[in-house]
Amino acid sequence: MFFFPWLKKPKLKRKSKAKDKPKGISKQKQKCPGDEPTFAVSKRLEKNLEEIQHKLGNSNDIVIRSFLMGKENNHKGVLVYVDGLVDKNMVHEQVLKPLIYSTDPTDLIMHGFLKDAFKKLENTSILVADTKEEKCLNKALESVLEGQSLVILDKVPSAWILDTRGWQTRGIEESTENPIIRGPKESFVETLRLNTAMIRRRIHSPDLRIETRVVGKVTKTAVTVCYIEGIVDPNVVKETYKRLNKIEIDGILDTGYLEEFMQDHPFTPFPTMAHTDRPDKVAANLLEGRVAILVDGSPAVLTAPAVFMEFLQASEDYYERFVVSTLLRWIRILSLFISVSLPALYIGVVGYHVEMLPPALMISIAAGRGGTPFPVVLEAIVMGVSFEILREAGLRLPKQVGQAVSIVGVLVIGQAAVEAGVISPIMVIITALTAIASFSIPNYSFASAFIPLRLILLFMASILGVFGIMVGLISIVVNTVSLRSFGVPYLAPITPARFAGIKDTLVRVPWWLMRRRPIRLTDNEIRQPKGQMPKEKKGKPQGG
Amino acid sequence: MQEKISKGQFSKLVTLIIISTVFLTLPRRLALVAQWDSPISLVLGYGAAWFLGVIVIWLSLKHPNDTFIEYSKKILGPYLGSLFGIMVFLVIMNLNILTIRLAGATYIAAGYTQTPIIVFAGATVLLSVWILKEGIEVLARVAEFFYFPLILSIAILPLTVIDKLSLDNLFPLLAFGLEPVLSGAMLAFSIGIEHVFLVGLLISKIQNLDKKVYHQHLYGVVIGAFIILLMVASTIGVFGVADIQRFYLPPYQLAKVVEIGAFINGIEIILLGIWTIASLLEVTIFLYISVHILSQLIYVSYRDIIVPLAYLFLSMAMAPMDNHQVESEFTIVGQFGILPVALLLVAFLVPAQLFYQWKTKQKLGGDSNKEAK
Repeated sequence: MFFFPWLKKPKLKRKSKAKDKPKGISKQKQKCPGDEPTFAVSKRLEKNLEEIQHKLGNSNDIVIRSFLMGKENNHKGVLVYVDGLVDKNMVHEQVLKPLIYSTDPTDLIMHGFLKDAFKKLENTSILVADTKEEKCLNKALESVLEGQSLVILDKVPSAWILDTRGWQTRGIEESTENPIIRGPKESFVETLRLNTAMIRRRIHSPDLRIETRVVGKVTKTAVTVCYIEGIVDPNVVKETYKRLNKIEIDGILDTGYLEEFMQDHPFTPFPTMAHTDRPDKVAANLLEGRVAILVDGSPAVLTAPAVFMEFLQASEDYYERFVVSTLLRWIRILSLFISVSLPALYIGVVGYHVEMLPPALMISIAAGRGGTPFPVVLEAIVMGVSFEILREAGLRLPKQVGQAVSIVGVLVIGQAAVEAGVISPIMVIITALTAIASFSIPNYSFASAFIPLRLILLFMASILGVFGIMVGLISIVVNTVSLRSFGVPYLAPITPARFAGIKDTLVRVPWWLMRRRPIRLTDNEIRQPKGQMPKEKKGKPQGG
Repeated sequence: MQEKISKGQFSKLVTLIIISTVFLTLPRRLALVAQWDSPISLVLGYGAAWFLGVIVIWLSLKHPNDTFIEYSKKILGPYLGSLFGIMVFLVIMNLNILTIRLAGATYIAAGYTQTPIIVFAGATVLLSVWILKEGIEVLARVAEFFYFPLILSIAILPLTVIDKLSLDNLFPLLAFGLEPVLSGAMLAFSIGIEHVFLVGLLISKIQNLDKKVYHQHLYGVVIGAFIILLMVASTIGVFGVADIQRFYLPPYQLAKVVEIGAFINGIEIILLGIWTIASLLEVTIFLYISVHILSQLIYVSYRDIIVPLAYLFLSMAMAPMDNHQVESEFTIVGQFGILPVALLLVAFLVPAQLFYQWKTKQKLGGDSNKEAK
């Protein structure tokens, strides 16, 4: 044997395989598909209970309630649920009570109609609407951890899952991310089903698809993809699922996780997937042919494809009169330009092209700067960074304290710095104007993308003046132009230019003129017929 | 997937290659040759350039899947076709070197005397390499993005100096007969036909190619020529021919005399910004043409030779000689060297195409379109 070791190997292997097998589950193991070792529901209740306890351990929040049912109170059953995730009243009144008082199943079981036990119970005693029979214990336990209740009866080789989910949730409140004056106020919450309901309430179409996947090996988070069949481009849906299915992570706690896994360009500062906490905005995006992705536990909903101009649009644009909305959009575009380039332009002009300033302005700038110890570039960088620190501090602190920090930062430190002659007054004005301009951009993530760009432009302006600014701006344009979101050019409909898109980007024409969807995401681009312009009704002559 | 551009983007690229750096440099060069007749020369020269463009489109539509280098190899034979390609490459290379040098020299002339020219030229080339690495679609989108800001900014400049314009400066026309007009037209033609080579390369990249491309080409040339005409006429109108001949960049001087109310004096800084975009686009388009021609001559992927070729052009543009010397050296080779190539195009390529068509017709039994299908 020493010379022919391979002769022994197969024997050893077979032995070890047999030893590794846990007793009693050998046959049942083969029945349930999946990655983890699985366990089919046994006919013997004790065996099932043993496996449940083995799987769930001694967690305090897991409730395993045994009961007896049937005429003679001789048929055993068990109810399993997670305390806090179920509606206890529902479990007591609509599940446990009918089960204990029920006689039918025992009779059925006694008479050998095992297959129909749960069906009979569902038809006669249990009052829960959403029920499911499950042969695989692992899957059944996953449902328990999602907040459903599990009923297993002795001598019945399947489990019964009852949707008794009901936990404490945050109430629907006004959107904190994009508050508006006119239009719907409600925002998404952390409960997935409530969020999908908010979308469904706005789109009553049977073509609205709400499909759920589970992502996260440990968290097993429900991720829902919404789209409108017939409006969305099927390739976008396919691409969404392709990217979603590729994700392998232990846990998903927010849509931000998905965004980083699913976006087209991981290194650009610009977001290529939009997010919002407004159901009306998601509904509008779905109507334009986009896909929405919801994650259980997150009030932020992702939408894709996303384009640059979308981030400069507010929900209110569509609820206000179009003239006002158009004007507001122009202001936002101007604000974007100011927030990115104003400090750099100031540096460029003061440092390199002071001759283009009118003499009076030149004198007042020079007078303001007289005595300040720092070069203008350093002054701008210090002010820019200080502002970002103040903003961050204001955001992270509780509301009341945050306001106090802002007041101290802006009024006290700013004024003191100017009075002490450390910072010139014009620089305070420039920084304040830049900050206010950046606040007028409706999307926080999008506005944040410009913070590093602003600092880069500032640096470029300080070393190369106008040329540096232009190189910086051109680089931003080249970067944005080369981006795509799920196959759609990021700067669409500006480039590639599309007239129907301009009607809802640079301007906002009246609704009756927006015949086509703004971005070509699908072949189904007509959204309304022509000739809906309201006409004045000719009445009686004045005074008649 | 093959990259494609829309017809609108094609038209905008044509306009931008016509305007690009020319809007800043042409008024002086034209005034030196044609003096008061510069506007007439410009119209004649650009008209002829448009006609040559039409010929190239006609040729390209006969070979919708080929660039003009590829089909010239088909119809002239591999050797003559390649020779034609090499000639075009050399001309465009010279023009590109000149543009790269000019891109930096303009900033130095505008007051950035402490900064070495390579910083400006290098940054421009670097950006153009980036754009080209992203592909023709991105180049077309960059051009489309800058199209309206560029056109509007250049078109508004003459309007801001309308109060300083003197009609007397624009006359007398045809005072020295037809000779200066024709010399000027030749110069304008030699500059105008730069776009023809771009057209020859881009036709095969156009989405849904059909005869509407003639219209798009016409719009592109007309808008571009009109903007240049505005610039030529307004600089002559404000300064007079004698002054323009002295200025290095007359439109830059024009921007300096702008007064809007009592507040804004001189908008040359804006013109400098426009210049950066315009020179970048020109360098990028020329680099695109050169890289494509070379890649089709030596059968390599065009993306692989972008960086080496850009580095070569930059090094040549930084030749240690003064700007005037560079201008005179490269202008002779680049600007007027383009004329024989253009003539070659008409004199050889058109008859050769007709012969090729006849031969194909004979071969396919009467239907010459079968080959294209």
